[in-house]
Amino acid sequence: MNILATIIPQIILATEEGGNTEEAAHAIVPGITSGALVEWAWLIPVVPLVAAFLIVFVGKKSPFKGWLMAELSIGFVAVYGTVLFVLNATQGIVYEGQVEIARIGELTLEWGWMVDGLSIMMYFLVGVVGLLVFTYAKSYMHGDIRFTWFFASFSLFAGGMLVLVASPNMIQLIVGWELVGVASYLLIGHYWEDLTNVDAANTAFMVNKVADAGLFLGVIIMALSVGSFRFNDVIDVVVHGEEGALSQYAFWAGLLIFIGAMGKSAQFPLHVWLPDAMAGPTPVSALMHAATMVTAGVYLLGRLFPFYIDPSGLFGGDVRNIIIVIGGITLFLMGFLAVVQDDIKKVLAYSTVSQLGYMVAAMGAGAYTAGLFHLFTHAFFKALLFLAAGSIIHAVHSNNMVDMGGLRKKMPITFWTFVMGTLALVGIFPFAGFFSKDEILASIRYAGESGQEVANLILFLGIAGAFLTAFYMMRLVALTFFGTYKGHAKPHESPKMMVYPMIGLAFFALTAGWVNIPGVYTGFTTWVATRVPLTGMGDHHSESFDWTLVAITSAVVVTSLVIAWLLYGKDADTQSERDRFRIPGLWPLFQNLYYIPSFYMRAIVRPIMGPMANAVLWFDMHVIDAVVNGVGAGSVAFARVVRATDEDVVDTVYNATAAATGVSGSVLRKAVSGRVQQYAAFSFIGVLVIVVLFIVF
Amino acid sequence: MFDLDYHALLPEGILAITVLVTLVVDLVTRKKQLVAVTAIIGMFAALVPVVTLAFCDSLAFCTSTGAERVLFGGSYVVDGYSLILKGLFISAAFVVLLLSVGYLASDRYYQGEYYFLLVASALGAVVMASSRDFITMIVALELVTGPAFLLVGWRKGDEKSNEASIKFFIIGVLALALTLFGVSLLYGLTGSQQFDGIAAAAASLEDVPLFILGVIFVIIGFGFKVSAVPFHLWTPDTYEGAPTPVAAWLSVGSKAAGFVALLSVAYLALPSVASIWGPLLWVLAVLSMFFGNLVAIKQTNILRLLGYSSIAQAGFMLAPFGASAASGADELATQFAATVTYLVIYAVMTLGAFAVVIVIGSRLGSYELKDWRGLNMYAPGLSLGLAAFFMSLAGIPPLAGWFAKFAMFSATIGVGNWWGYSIAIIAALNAVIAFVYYAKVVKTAYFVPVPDGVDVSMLENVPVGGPIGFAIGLTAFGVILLGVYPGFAANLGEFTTQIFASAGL
Repeated sequence: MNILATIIPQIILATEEGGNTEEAAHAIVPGITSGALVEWAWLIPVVPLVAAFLIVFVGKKSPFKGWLMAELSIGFVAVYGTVLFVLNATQGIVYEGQVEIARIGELTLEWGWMVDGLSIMMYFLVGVVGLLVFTYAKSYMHGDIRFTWFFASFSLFAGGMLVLVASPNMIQLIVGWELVGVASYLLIGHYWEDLTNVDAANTAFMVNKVADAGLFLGVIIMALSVGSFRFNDVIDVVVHGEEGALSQYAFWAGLLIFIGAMGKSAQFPLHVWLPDAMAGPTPVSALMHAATMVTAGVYLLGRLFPFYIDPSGLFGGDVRNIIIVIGGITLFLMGFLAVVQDDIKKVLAYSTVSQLGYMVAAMGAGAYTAGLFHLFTHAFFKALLFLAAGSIIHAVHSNNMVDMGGLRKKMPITFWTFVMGTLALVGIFPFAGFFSKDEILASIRYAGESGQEVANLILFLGIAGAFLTAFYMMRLVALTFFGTYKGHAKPHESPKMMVYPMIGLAFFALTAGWVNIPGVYTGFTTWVATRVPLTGMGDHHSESFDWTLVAITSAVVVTSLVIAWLLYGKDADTQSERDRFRIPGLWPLFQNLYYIPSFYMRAIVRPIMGPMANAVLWFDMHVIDAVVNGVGAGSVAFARVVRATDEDVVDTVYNATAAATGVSGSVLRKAVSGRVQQYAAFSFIGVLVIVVLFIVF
Repeated sequence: MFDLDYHALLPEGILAITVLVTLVVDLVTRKKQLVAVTAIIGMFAALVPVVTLAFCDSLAFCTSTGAERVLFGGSYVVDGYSLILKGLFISAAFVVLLLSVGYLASDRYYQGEYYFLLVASALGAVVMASSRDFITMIVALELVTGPAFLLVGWRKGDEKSNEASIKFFIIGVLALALTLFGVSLLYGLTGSQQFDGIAAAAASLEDVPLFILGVIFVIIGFGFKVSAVPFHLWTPDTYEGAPTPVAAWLSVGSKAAGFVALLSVAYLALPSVASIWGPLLWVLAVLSMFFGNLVAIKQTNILRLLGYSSIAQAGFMLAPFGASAASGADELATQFAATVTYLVIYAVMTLGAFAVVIVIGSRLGSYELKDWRGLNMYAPGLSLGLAAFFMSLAGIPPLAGWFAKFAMFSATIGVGNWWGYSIAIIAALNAVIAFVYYAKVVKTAYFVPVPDGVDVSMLENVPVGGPIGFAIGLTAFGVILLGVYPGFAANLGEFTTQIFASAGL
């Protein structure tokens, strides 16, 4: 039985009473639907984009070499986003503005800006986390030779991300999607003097391009069958359960769009780019590759949520099971990889992929609120973990945990903020992750009970994932902060400009989960409401905690922390020895990342770049020439026969050719004109083959 | 005899006069810049009547005659379709002239005749857009390519340039022969060489082998002009050997002329036999995309890379034709508009790419990609331009190229059968492959250190001004405008489909 079945009829009823969907929506989500505040919200994406352009052109001469412009623009977003966030929390906002830019046939293209719960949450996240990270980055990037360029690209990212989340239609979403992709490419390759970083940037771009091709096709299929690019129009069709073109192509449209989401949100097996992306500067990893950009896929699933949840059974419902399975596989498999990494940023990167798996699985289980809630809390604590890791890297000049250890005393603020981030990530009460992860697991369990059988399996993976999360984080903390220091630099606490943003994020890592406590306060549920009030389905269990599940997960997490501490934390002097423990058989599998990158290299990239391209090139240069030579010789022989019978004609041709080539010089005659005749002969054979094929068939 | 619609013929008239005046100016002055100025002014002047014709309805002095002006008994028609393509050709030639000025002055080239030939070639393209019978069309098409044969060989001392010229000439003549052979078959079977006459007779001839043969020969003859695989062999050699502005003209002006021929013949003369040319062009599109993109990956010379890129782009533009294979005559408008939209955007971004490549290449003295490493370190403005145009060619929004791809995808998928789906999927795959080499150029400029032994003094802190700077600015503006406000390009495409309404389809 479908989760929504009980909720949807009421919505349709409300729609019928209200006369149209919009009025009905207002009846359910009251509050702000017009006014200067929302009508000017288009400034949110535009200001950072303008800042990015200005920094490119005049950045070097402006105060703080462009940083100030970037900071002010993101500050604007933070303030605007916070105002909207607070007003939405208290009154509710639904608004959609658009400007038409093109018509193709029946379809209209628009630029627009959406101001509703889902978008506002993202404005708030990008603005607030962005402001803290930009502040941090000023010190972190101090002295970098491409300081100005860095902030131009970073602002481009912020603008692109906001274009993406502001979008009321799928085309603008793609535009934002590509803009953040370009920014990501530039920033991953920021330290391009090291060639591996350039490779990382290329991998990221290429993997995303593959996924984007899916997204593009999916969007076009969906738009052609609905007759509109607007999310709202798609959702109206879905909510009304109309059979038609969309229901006919729903599976393919939904699957292709999900492939796009898999790329951006680094889902298995398209996750390979994200760990590589850690080659970029740490603030980039914090803001883009942990907090915001990589959640774009989850965001997109949220935007199209009614389509995938599919109350009428006509649309993307079949894709939903694929979504939950992909999410489940990702959260489980990537957790293992985080355990075996020695690079502190890679541990966090695999952790991010794993957490994104939780969000995607939640979306697949039909838990809109739970998925977005985890997106919300994760943005704060994972950004915090990255910034703290950056602070460590800044101090010890190495990413490798082998060079760390014993930093607890030397960098106390970094230590304590990192611990808070860790507690939030592993899900210890009352930190943020505790509430959001519990909500996801409870929703998955509920989905399993409501008939989505595969969810039962995913629930186990989810609990196992919680074990892994606790394990690798405790290992990370033990190897970095406890024991003895093994590096060569002289570590000391980072400057204030870096420490304060970490403290700010630590505050959120503690409190961000309190906005959705089952049975106490569940405001978040309504904060992410959109025009069509489908959020109801996430709340089914929110009257109270799922106490059994809370008990199990908490026990698992604590056990895991203890085991990890025993393995890595206890004996400070031999702790690096203890890291050598092996799991027979599986260890090489983890170390080689399940052989997925090498599979891609061997099965796809190298064949295309190498043999395939070479073959076509070789074919062009040799086979065609050889064929042509044969034909050339044949035609010469043929010409001799003809000559005997028709001296005059052949003579004329020969004379003409001789005249033409004679003018061009002797070199040309040998090297070129012969080959040109071959080209011509070959082309003519091509024509004949086609003609014969056509006549025969 | 003198009862002509002179307004309708004014663009051609101005160009014809310009052709003659450039010759005269060349004769009387030693300042060859004056010839260039004459050509540029003439080109710009020719654009004016195109605009007044397009907006005739809202202009007081213009006698409106409805959507189209038919001349010479239906052989020559000035309507939305032809006006937009005339605008495209004239603008493209205008930009190519701007690119040529500095290029020709930089070495000892014959300048006067160069401009004469280029304007003549543009005149051919403009006539081409209006021609509605085979004779006019082929004469016009040869007026486009004839001068181009000579222009390709303009670097007289250079062996490659001579080779390119001969190659282009022989292949061009072969293509012409094929087309003429096909045309004679069609004329013999339908008894008409005007497009509407052929269209009327074609439906009943669908199964006649000789008719099929005629269609194939005509389409393949034009396939050479648009350098579709397997008739592409001349393209990379010619691009590399020809003077670079001429390569720009070939890849935009001459190629667009080939597409106009294909569009007119397929959709106006033979709309009822899409079942013949559709599958044929489907195959050519698929081959062009795969072949162009895969070989482009291996290129180390930027001009050859652009050559293969233009083959691949031709494949994308042919895709809507291929998708029409099972469509009836009344369902073709969307695919037609998609190709026109693509063509307009392709022209802007390709000209821009060539403009930047010419500046960098001629100042560095090398078109080898390995010498361009680290460009951003000493010429940040130019490398930003390079990145913008190549990203646009790759189809990254919000630069114009994305909308071209978008129009192509929505037209092909919109067909609603597997001819369309299959080519859309293949095009999507190829968009990814193409990305490899476009990104390689950007990567080279941004992420690799400057190699030793490259003389960057001509680029470091030397501003790009003059005609070519103006051309870069113009095309950059176009690439951003068409990307952010794609309605403009879409409307142009849409506007041309009036032709279907007026043809009564």
